[in-house]
Amino acid sequence: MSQGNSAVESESKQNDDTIDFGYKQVKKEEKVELVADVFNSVAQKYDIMNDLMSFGIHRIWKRFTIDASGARKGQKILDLAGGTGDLASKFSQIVGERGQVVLADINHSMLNVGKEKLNNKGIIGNINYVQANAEALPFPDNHFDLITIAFGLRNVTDKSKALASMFRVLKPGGRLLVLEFSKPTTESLSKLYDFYSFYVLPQMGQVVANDSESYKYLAESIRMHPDQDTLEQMMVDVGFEQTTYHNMTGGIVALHRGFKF
Amino acid sequence: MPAIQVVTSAIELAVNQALDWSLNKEQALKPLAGKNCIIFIQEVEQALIFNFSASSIYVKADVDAQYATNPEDETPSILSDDECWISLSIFAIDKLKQNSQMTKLIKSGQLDFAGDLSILQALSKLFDKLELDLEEILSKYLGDVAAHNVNQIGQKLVSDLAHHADLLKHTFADAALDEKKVAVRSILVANYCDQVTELKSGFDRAEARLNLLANKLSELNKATANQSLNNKSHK
Ligand SMILES: C[S@@+](CC[C@H](N)C(=O)[O-])C[C@H]1O[C@@H](n2cnc3c(N)ncnc32)[C@H](O)[C@@H]1O
Repeated sequence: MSQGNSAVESESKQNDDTIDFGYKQVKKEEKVELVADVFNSVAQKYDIMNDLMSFGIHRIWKRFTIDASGARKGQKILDLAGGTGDLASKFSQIVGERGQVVLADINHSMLNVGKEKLNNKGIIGNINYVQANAEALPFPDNHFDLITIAFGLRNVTDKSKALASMFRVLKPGGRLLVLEFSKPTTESLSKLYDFYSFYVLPQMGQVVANDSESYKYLAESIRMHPDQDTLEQMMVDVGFEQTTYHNMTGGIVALHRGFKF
Repeated sequence: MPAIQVVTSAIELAVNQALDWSLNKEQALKPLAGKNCIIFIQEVEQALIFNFSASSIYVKADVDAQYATNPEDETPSILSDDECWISLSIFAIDKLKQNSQMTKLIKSGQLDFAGDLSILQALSKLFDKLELDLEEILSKYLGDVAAHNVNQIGQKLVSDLAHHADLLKHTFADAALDEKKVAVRSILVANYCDQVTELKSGFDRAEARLNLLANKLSELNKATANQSLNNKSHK
């Protein structure tokens, strides 16, 4: 049942015009729209589902990401594919009045939910919201001290293009953190995880958000995402240095880190 | 599981709850808003970074061990103007509440300090105001951290979790008897070990069940395949 390193296999199999959307092959131009449909559909219930699906563990994964970010007062931080703003809200507190946080997402609905949530929490002043595609970031070169992309990269059509775009807008000395689902490190965990994501998750999605298809896509897109070593190599290929990754919860999730010098 | 993040979230929850219960939360936080106080806890060799805003406290862990030694020993120091760093034993943490004792603590070597002293004094006043037993909170979770640290070293050597848990139980029971300074309550460690064992047997049960299901599924597949072959040959 395990998909192994299917991301690499599928990349070599797919022709130039098509790309994976979960397990389906679709035209490259279509993927953006299909992903948009998924996140339009889940936006309102996104936070509740996150807690339910991960038993709240996503908060710990995100906490580790912030701890590994080295974020400091006065910095400029981009939280890319930031959705409902979990990371951006913490960064806003860390960088303080002199710093700046940009919450960017391709999807208007997700951005709106994020904006409303942060406004309600009183987080205003040092935070801006930008609708942007990770593949073509609308920011100047060498602009940010830190870029984070949490559970976003696997939804992007051309991941290498997106990584190169992040490299461009990062300042020399800056770092990129990619938090993403990855490949479990043991066979037994892999089996349990497959069972959970292909049987339990879509049903949970159906009951709570009345939307099993989006959660089926979630499970499939995770299996199609590059594994730890492949993603690290992709970062190196676009210029990142001192790249490392840290497995969490047995490799279900990994945090990749790379620097631009 | 990065255990230290569980600890920082628990501490953060406790301090913010205490803040919410205290009168005049905004007033209490005002002198510290926008400042950082880094507290290095000697027993677990882990720094906790308290980041203050006008309305809440965020607690981070120093995963890159940047603050494991006095930052002013390095030039240039990584401390900025609005930060202070202290290193102390878990057992001295409640003394932080005694503002008048601060210089004495530094002089007697019980507390190593760097940065802006006024931040430490403001922190001391805040902790004093809050209905909070910091030592209790920290030592409650320290057991997990210490166990986790040993767990990481142990992982290289021991693949069997149950055996591992047993080992931990004995190591810590001995350590707790031999040296009081080891801030691990043996009962906490025993609990932790029980949880690990429980988790492992739960996991084993789930795995066995999955294997059973997988076998049943493949038998079913075979049966269906045979059936359709039979059907075809009958036709
Ligand atoms: C699973 S959510 C993650 C949200 C948030 N970072 C978190 O961790 O909770 C994925 C987000 O990626 C966004 N996204 C998908 N493709 C994108 C792209 N090409 N550029 C920017 N954002 C994208 C989606 O709109 C969605 O909000």
